[in-house]
Amino acid sequence: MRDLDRILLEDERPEPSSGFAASVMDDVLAEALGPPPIPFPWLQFALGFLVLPVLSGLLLWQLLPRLPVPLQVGLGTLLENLGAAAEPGMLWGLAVVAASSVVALWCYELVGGAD
Amino acid sequence: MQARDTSGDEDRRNVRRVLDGDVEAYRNIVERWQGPLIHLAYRFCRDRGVAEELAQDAFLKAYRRLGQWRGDAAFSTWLFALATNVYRSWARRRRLPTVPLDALRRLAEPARAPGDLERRERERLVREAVLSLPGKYRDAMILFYFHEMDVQQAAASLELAEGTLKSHLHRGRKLLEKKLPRLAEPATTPAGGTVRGTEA
Repeated sequence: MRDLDRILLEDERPEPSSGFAASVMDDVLAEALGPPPIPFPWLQFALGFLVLPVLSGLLLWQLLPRLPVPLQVGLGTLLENLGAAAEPGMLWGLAVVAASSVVALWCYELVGGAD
Repeated sequence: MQARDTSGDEDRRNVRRVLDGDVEAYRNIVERWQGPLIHLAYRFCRDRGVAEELAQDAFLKAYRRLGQWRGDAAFSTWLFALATNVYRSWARRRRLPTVPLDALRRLAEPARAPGDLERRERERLVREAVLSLPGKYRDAMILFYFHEMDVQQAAASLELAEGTLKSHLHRGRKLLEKKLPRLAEPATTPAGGTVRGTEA
């Protein structure tokens, strides 16, 4: 594999374009003069991360004993019967938890992860 | 690679000045490290324009996190690790490059004395084949050769243990051997002689 070593060691080294450093400094100065970036809300994220599975677990714990069919049936049948077994408040709870998860994930993606 | 190792003090002084509010001192850091950072980015994307964009992003992130450099490791180690993370994130988001099958077939044919154009094309395909490796092997190969085969520096840039890096390198090379079997064999002329400089 000496040939591989040679090929990968001798890779092209592109020179920075003449305005590169100036362009970086424009960004840096804009950053320095602007308001400080909003830090990622790790505390809220961690709370949500912990609370969400607990809430989902509680809802399922309440819901599963009321199911008119055994758990061994297929997922489709189980989901069909879930609506019948739940009180309207529970279904709303599930919907809110699901919607919150989607919105949280969407916001996380929008800000480009934790950066 | 020599210039960047000679004076860590200069980096330390510049960082201190930036943290004390002299933003212009960051220009010295950019001018000092722009070449290596663009070069490393180029190894991930093989496009000069994209490499500059990625390096710019890395410098901006480094500026934002300058206070997190603790000073126990060299500034360059910290900067390369940060830039590597930026480049790896970019590589994860983009579609995996593919090397055309007929190109791989050509690389698998018995080697003969290559012309300059053919040699360059072959080298280009080998570099692209590295980019098509699974992420952890690709990153190990890129950083290892960027740091001129220095395992310690490559492992520091990837924030990996040296043993893990070596194992990723070994696996990456095996995968490349499978893709490009000619690299593992001595190249021969049509008459059967070995071609100097192209043997594996």
